[in-house]
Amino acid sequence: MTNPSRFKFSRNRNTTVKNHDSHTLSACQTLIDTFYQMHLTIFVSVPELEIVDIKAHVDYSIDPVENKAIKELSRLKNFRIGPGLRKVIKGLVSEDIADSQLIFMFEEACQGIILNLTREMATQLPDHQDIDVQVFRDMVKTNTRLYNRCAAYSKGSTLVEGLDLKQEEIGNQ
Amino acid sequence: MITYLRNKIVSVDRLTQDELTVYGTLDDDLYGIQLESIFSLDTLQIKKISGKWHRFTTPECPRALANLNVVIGVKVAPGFRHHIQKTLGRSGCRHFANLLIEMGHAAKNAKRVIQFETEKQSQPDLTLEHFYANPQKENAIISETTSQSISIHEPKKQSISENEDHQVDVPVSRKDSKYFCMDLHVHSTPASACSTVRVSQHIIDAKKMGIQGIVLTDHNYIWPEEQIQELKTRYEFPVFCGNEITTEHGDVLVYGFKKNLKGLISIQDLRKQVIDQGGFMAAAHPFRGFLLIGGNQLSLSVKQASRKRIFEYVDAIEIGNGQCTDAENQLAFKVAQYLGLKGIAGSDSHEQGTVGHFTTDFFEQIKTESDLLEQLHAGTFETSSQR
Repeated sequence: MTNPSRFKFSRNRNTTVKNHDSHTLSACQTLIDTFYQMHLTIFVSVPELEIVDIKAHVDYSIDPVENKAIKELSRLKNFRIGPGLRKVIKGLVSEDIADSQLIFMFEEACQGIILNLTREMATQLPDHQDIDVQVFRDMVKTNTRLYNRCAAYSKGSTLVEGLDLKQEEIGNQ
Repeated sequence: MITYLRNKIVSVDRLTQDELTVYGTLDDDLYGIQLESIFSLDTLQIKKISGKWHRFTTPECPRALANLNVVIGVKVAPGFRHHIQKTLGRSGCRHFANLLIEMGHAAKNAKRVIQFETEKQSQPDLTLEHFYANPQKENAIISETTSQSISIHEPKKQSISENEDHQVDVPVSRKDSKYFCMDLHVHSTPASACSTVRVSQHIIDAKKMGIQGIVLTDHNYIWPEEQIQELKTRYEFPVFCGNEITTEHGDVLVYGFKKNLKGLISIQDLRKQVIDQGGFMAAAHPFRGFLLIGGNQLSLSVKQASRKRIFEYVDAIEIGNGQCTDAENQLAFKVAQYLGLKGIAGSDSHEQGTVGHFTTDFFEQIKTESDLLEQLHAGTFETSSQR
């Protein structure tokens, strides 16, 4: 029989995205663990991807910083989801709450919006087993920033095989 | 209807006296990942890691598993998240990195629970809340158990000097020599941490390309005037100092503005300060990455794209950027046209051999920074691409 005292910590984090109305997506993030129980929802205009509203609730938090963070969430309104997310968020909120769980939840909710769009694109393709590798090669050719961004798009991968992508032609983001 | 769902579950066991075993699962519509890692209890150092894919988006995603070991030895300490994103996130998979960051934080919290349990043995009435709210006590325990904690080493920033001698090749002429072609967006090392090219090399490359001048736009960095003058004299080449400044609405290229700003500044404040100094502002790469994350599929019209707030506070839009796709540059161009804003161009060069891929081509020679600002404000320039 397992000794229950060996179990020390558990965390559940859940993100859902749905169409709030015809011009708005909402992303809801829930965090439940030994120390926290919190919910955060962002409402994002489409196609601008601008945060139009943020709602959050702290059911339980062991760290008082979350109660401070919840008051500062309104500073993130009108923020536009896109590259450099973390850098801009950190600049918009006070330094002492920048690493709070609620701010991290906000970032994760924004990532949820991006992944929701990725998912929509993916649904337009057949199952990956059936996709011609050329589809991925064309993606890298069109957007060279994909090169070296992960194992799938780095040297040695069939997805970049034969592509004339010299390292010096690939810039940083 | 829910169109996207992601669940992350992390749990921590103390299977041995000195180690924490952390299990993580990330599961969404696109990815299914499982990781298992062992952290040392005292320093929260990753000792072992293994993983498994259940669901992925490209046939080569499984290659990421081979790179999991890059995180062995990393400790949960300040900079942990950034380090994992830059190593495992880049050489493996960013979703692996996302899950491992969550696991690292869980290990840290599990350690707190263990510390609380230890403390409670001598204080039976102690609550978790009270324990957490008493940082002195907690810190005492942490410092005792992590006295050998080592943060992730950041590379030391080199001093900025340009003392190497380089052989300068004869310039090659450009097709449109009637213009004074300048790259208005160049990053150099060590002023920009993201660049790998020294400014001297940029100048050599620019001369080879037939470019007549460059503007250094290192991130939130102002080059000392004497260094700029030294570069100009040594290489007999026009070099100017600009800046790329981060605002809440995106990056802004600034010319003729010499204040050394740190961190994020609001676009309104920046605008006011730049106007006060007679400077010039351009929205840098305004749609970079945006089309990649779904702008195309969202059918973003030019009118909708032009609603970005940043455009209300700039003199120009960067319509040619060497780090953007053609579609992203094209959208920036259309938006500039729609809004009646000027369009400038620059390579955004970070790597050797990329300077001059996009240039702003002035109608008259630029000898001084005043000349540069005068022509920028007057709009007497065009843009071109050599990519």
